[in-house]
Amino acid sequence: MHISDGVLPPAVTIGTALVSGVIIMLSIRRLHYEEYPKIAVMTAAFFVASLVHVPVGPTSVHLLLPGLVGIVLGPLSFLAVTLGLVLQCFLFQFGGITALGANSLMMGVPAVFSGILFRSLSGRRVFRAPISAGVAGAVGVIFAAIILAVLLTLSGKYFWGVAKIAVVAHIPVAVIEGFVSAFTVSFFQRVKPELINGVT
Amino acid sequence: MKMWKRVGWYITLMILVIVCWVGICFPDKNVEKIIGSDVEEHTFSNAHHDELSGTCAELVIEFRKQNELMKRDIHQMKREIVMLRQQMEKPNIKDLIAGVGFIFGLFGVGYYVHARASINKNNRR
Repeated sequence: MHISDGVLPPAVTIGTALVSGVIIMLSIRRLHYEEYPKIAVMTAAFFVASLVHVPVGPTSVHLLLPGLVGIVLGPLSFLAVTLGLVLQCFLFQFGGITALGANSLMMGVPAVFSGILFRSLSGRRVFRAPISAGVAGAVGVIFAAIILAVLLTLSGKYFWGVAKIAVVAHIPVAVIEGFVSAFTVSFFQRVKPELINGVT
Repeated sequence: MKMWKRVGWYITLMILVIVCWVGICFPDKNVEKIIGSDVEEHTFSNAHHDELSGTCAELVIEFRKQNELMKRDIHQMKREIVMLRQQMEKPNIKDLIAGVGFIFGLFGVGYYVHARASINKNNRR
């Protein structure tokens, strides 16, 4: 799920780049040096996840992990996602350089939202942490697909069909991502609970 | 009488010239049809000409067969090149390790600089 060069109109490209830049600056300002290792590990996980292809029917999809990154890093997940996308762009040619702002916004905002959703759900007694993580992970992917659809629709009517396909194609990804997030969070809970509880 | 003889010779010579001209300017149509317009103009006798045009036609048919086979082979090679290019464009384990190393390195440097700045700030206080 990466937008290539030339898909978005200049106004959308510049606008999303500016918004992403502002969010990155805010993230850097509130960054504490003790959080660097955690961010590095989650950025590496996000970066590598794009290569884990899951076969779905005739095609295959890859993990996105905005939910898991958001759960572990909270508001700082935008920074991790952006860095992961920059490296994916330069090393794997996933997405365009001019569309980096839009791609960051598309993946970073759902990651931050997933973190907030996880905190609010896991605070209630009905939801245990893995279930909340599963829901947050799945919602993160769907939210990212919706943002992609909105950005594509802003680009013109020609992309409306692609936008619909993108949302539908990511429903199985959301389900898989939900399970992956739930299992990972349950593992963190047993091994290192402060990793998911210590988000400010 | 002598004059008539001379006129007869002139007429025969003219006929010969006309025949030669017709032979040069209008070669066999069959050969032109098979090979195309870039035909080498020649002035052979009819029997020799037919024999040559038959050989040329066989050669052209063979040439076309070979051309078809070559075209098929080239198409297959093009497909294989495209597939190979796609395979090469796929990220490999080297890119993966390079990316992860870059991330850890970058955050390591960031950690060092940030931690050093924080410690210096605390020491000043």
